[in-house]
Amino acid sequence: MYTLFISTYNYLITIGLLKNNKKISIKEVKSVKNHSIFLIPTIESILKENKLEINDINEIIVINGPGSFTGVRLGVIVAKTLAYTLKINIKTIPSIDALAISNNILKRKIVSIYDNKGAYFAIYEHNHRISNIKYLFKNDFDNKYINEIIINDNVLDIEKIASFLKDINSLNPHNLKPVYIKEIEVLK
Amino acid sequence: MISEFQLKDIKDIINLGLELNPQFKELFNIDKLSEYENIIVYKEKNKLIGFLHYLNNIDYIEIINLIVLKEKRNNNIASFLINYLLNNFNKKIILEVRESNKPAINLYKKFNFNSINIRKNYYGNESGIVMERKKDIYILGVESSCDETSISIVKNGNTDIATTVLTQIDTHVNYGGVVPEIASRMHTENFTLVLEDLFNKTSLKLDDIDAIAVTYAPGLLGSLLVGLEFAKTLSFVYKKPLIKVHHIAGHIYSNNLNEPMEFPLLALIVSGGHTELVLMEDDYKFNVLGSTLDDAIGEVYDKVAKVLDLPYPGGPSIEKCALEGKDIYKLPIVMNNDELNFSFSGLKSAIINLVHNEKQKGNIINKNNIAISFQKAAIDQLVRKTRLAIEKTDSKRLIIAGGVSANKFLRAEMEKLSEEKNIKLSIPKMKYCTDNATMIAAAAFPLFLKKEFSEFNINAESSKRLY
Repeated sequence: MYTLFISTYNYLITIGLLKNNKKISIKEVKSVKNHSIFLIPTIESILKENKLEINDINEIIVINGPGSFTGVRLGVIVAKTLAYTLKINIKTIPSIDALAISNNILKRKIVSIYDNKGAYFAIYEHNHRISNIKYLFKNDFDNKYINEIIINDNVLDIEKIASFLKDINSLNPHNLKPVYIKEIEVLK
Repeated sequence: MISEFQLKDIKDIINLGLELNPQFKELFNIDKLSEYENIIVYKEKNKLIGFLHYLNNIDYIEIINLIVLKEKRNNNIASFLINYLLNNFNKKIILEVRESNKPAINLYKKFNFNSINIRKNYYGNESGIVMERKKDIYILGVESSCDETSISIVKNGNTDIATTVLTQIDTHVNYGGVVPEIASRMHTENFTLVLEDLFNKTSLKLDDIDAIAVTYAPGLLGSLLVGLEFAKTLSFVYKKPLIKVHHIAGHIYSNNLNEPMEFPLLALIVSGGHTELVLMEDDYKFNVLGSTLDDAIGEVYDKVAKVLDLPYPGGPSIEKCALEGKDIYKLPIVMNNDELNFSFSGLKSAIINLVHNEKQKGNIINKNNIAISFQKAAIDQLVRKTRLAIEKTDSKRLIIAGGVSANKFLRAEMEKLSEEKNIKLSIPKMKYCTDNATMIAAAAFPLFLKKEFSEFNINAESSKRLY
């Protein structure tokens, strides 16, 4: 069973390929506000290098945010369109959870993703999230969690993520939405 | 009734063939019918009236015989039989016909067959004409440049096969205008649903589509990107060429959905971002004769609506009020000169001053009266400049394109102008005036013929100009 992993929530596009939940290939492309240029070409090239066709893929895993609004949207629209047209399973995972799982957190730690104004974050213990995912401006976040261990590392372990999602049910692609967390300015 | 032939029909088929060709019996041998050949018959009350004998090759169909009983001709029976082929095979069709058989040649021309070759003296002292009908081209269009999520399938650049438009206007109206971030979010949520809805309206499948067309510019960047990425994914999965289309080209080519545009023509482009007079010598050949020096016509409608406290979008709001109003205000005649450029900011300022003065005097503002005076002045400028452009270029054809072409007052005034100048006018049907993917698929057709395909690394551009 082949799984295509898609992450576009930050300045990196990460495309992974797994066979029976074992990593066979991963590609990272740095892309600042140009995800559209690289996203499909990267999927195309990882398949080509592994002598696979898109029709060989049985499952999609996509990080559905939070992070860059536009970045997340592009990953989600590609993932749901692939799942819908190929009629294959699709699973989502929040960026923060994906980073926590990749880091194997036992003792209480905070996993965070910074943007230019603040941080998305959540609290983890024994590999479980014990808070909601939230967003705070940088000063507020730094003051509030000054005594906590903060993880701010963007390395994704796609095998751990795939294995974490193994028993989670596939979604209806129509219902797949990004997770934004932050409010839209005009709605405040 | 059309059906496939049965063995018991053979005698009738041969008798019918003999009416046309005394050697038909020798030429037609049922035992030698190959597995690629077939005959469809047309019967009335079980009597054979006509038949069509064809050869189904891998990439084209050859019509070998199409014969209708003499006394039953001119009853569209041949058309029924040809339509059967068109409905069942999307392939090129070729045939050969006697030079003297004008009724048949005209019928084939009606079905878009063109003569491609002449076989000299093929029938003894008469030549045969080889005719070809190209395969129909189906283009799937994707549009999401603003607040409409739309997908459409258009045949040969001029026939709307199926279209779905999901508008977000009910959401944005709460904020007095389109909120870009909300628009992008809604496109992301809705594209696969819109795709499903579209294919519920047609028997076609994505595999039958020849190319995927998508609006890549101009518009709201975040919204364009969602549509572009969606279209790229379809193109990638189904291995169909990707065609990038400029939104304004879409508005222009929505006129091909009336009847194919003939060049040269004069185009008046009126929308929220454009007010231009363009001379088109050919497909995608634009020569800008004049454009707005400040606001676009749609923009000034929105701004005036805001001044009058009328709901967004301004165009329909002002148009509705104008119907109830009396044209009592004297507004300046702007750009009363020999140029082909437009200007609307003076008119906008005049309205702002008018409202301000009336308020200061403590008068109640009659929005309807202001709306009609504004609309008359604004549209009058469009008509004046278009008339001037017709005279300067000696144009014989005029098309209107862009969202503002939905304005009924503009449509009526342009009808008058076309009568006055005796020129052919085309205005898109109302449903194609607002944003839709039908026009994008239509605009992609000439690009498909020129094989102007895009790679997957193209990007959306929020303010790229067409010309």
